[in-house]
Amino acid sequence: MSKHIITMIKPNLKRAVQDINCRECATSCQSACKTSCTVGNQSCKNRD
Amino acid sequence: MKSLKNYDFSAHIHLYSWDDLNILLDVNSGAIHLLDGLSNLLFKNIIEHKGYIDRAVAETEKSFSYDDISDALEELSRLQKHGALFSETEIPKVDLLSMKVKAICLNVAHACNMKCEYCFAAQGDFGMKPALMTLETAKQAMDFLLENSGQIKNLEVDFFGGEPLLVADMLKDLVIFCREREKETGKRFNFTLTTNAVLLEDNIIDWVIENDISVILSLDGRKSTNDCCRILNNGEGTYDLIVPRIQKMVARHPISYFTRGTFTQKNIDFSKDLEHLIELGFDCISLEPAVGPDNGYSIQEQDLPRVLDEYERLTEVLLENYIQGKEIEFFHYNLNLQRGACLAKRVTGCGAGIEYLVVTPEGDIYPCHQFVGDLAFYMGDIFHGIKNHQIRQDFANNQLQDKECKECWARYFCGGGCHANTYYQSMDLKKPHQVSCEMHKKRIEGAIYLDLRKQMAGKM
Repeated sequence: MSKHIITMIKPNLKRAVQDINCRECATSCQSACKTSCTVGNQSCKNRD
Repeated sequence: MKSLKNYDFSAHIHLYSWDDLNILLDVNSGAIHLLDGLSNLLFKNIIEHKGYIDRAVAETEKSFSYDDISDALEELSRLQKHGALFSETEIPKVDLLSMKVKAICLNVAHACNMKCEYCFAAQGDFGMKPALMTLETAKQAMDFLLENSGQIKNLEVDFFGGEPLLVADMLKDLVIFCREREKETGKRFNFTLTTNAVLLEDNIIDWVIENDISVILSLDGRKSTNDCCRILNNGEGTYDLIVPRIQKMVARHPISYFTRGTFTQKNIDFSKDLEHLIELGFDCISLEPAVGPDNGYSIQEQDLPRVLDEYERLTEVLLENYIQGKEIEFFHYNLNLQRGACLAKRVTGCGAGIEYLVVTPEGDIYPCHQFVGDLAFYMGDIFHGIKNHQIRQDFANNQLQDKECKECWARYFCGGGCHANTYYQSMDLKKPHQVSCEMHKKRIEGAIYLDLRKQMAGKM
């Protein structure tokens, strides 16, 4: 039981090779932002 | 516990406090932890003492008991074992040059019915001859996209300009054409219309709804803010004209929408613009800084302290609304922390010049909307294909791993940042635009804080 450290977001970036690079998620500039790169905003189509 | 003596803490760990929360981002795994006072101090000491745990413990013992520190160390060790802490970089190899085209920013009008003071597109014509795209050219651009998209199913097309509704009838015919091509190819076009809303009349609203088109509706906030910059060709402000139209559009529940505003040196108190937009009934809002060389509008280094403070106020506004039961989607805070894009996407950034291209009214191709009109970035045209392969190569060689960004904690949120911001600030694609970086980092910190607060409220 954790008393001092609470994990709020689990590890999620290291994925199996077959689960990455499908390029189906949105392109960051096709959005409400055309002045900064927002890859962190995109949802993975394989995890929807 | 695995040795941390050679661990690059500044690149792989981001530890910060926002309000009363101590937040730790484990950069490589994407895990985020909340720390109590003891573990926060312990972490600070581990970082301070460059991974020497015994020294960090001795330092922490000045404030906490050894037994409690020992408990925290055990937790820390467990997290490390499970890949949630002190994780190492594992960058997937991505062959950018074999990548297909997936998105086109279709500049259907290099002309505008407004003349906004801060317009990056030189009042709509991008410093070029004003032009409107014909249906034939637009169809050819869509076929170019289909032919160059390989196996990708979800394609994206942004109707952009200038003001795209100057060619509204053409767009209606184009969407009919694309829906037919979808049936033939099995692909899906996702359309976005970015408009100043001056021509957003009832028949256009009907068309947007009937055709599942996402809309980006330009509005800067308060009347005084909006009308300072967003003016018609006769110099009149647009607020009174566009607000009712945007409200009407939003009331019809488009598949996706954002009101999108720009803040400048003249309204650094942009949290008040956010509040105003919320009062107008909008719940999907984007406010972005004007960036670039100093033109009296774009945010400069000396503006940063006030801008960063303002993001804190904005975060409070979003949290207060949430507590009152009103969920506001603020675009830049819309991070997908648990189910976001894969690392292959994150390390390749926006994909400009490779999977994302812009097509001008004449059918010319540039890497993105920000480079239009700069002949050094002219890539070819949709009729004959890409001619200048060197530009594609230059963008392929300008990814996160090729820049100092690879050592920044924020790298997997911004993917190495905007090529154009970088280039037009320093004339060097590889040198990050520090003002943009500082604002982006603050937004990431604010977004994570807000997400954790919402989780703690137990309502997510």
